[in-house]
Amino acid sequence: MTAPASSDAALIAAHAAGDPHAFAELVRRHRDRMWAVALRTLRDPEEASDALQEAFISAFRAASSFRAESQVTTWLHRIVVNACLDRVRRRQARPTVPLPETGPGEPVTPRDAMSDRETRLVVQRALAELSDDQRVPILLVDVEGYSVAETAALLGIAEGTVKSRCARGRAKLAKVLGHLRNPDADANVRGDAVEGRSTPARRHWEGR
Amino acid sequence: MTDDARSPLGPPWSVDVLADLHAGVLDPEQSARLWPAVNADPEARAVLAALDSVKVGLGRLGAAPVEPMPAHFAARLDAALAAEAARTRPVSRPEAPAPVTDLAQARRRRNRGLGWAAGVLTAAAAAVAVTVTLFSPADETGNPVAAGPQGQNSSDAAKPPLQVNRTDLSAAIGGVSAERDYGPLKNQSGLEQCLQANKVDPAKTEVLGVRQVNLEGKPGIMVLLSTGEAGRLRVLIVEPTCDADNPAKLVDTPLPSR
Repeated sequence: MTAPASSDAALIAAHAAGDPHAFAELVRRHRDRMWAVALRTLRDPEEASDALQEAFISAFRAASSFRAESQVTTWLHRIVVNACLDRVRRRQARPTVPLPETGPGEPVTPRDAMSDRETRLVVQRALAELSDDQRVPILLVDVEGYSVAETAALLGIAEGTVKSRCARGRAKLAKVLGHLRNPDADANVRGDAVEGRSTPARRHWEGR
Repeated sequence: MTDDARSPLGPPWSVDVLADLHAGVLDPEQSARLWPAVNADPEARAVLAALDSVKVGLGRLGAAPVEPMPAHFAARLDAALAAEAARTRPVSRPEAPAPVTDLAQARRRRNRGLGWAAGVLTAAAAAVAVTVTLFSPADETGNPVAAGPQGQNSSDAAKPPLQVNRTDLSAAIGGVSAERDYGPLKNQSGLEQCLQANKVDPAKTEVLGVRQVNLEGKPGIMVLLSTGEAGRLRVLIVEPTCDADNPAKLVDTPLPSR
């Protein structure tokens, strides 16, 4: 049996060399994290399960092409994200399933009284109000930590489009999450009524 | 750039313009012109702070502890990977190929009613059945003794028996897949006789792995067999007396159980 202390890279190498247990150990280590990625992206557990299954089997087959200079987690993460994005593209012609918990545009407040877990749930619910076109770039950039350039490559769109969709999505999230005082404001409506708060001096934030 | 002529590039601010500025959508010239005005306007800064809060919340989502993958999905994943492992390194192949089943077919069988095609897993044709043959000769005190001499064809005879729990059979899949440890069944022929007694036709069923196990204190053998459905396992446990005339079945269950 493969020693539990083996590094991820050693497990990949062992798997490529024919160790029948190495990949199972790799899956055991990373399954839950990748499940979270798939579930966030696809929102449907059955779809997420199928996507993760496809992704891990793709990784199983492609292990010999893994480059040692990469992190195994980064490599696996990208495979999972790609499997999820394939499914997002396939379903884009289908209508979005509304969430039962929250009506459209309904602010989700107050936040201060919430636990971290509740806050995360609120953010997840707010994300679900976005279209896939806005939600997926935001997931990739703001949640999963991909750069704008990486996200553009993953999605096959221009970097400017990634930035623009992220901008629109964040603006809507700010409204849905109750960060803006005028939650009824739609995109391209003046936001001149915002909640007052002290803010640090701005830097010129140019995306990731 | 996402603003248009109706969106002011100055106070009173459009949320979208500020979001564009915040996200680096605007061209450098516009940005350079806007930032001083934005930094000088508390209301504009408040909008940017709100957008920052959104980003912070999203970042926390990515860094948060994750919930475990639900057990039935995890078992399905284990089964699919075991089938894939066995497909590439089978212990024995049936004369007739197992029917190919992709995820879309599996989904339809699950009656979920989703209408889109799923999966590239046509190669994950074989789900797996697990046969565990108990071979627990007891010593005079009734305690099970260690496994006896290994069969001549047991390629993994040196491995210790795999610990198997009835309530978590899926955990043993990875340890059995692609193994060839026949134990008291001695060889493929002995295994096939036991399988036939359990109404498993070796000519139509791919053997994906064989290994001696310890089932909750009882030594035994575990065998992975194809069943023709992706991500689907079956667990069959028999007593050590299993042979062509004695199925000696103890447990026979699909995995995952659905």
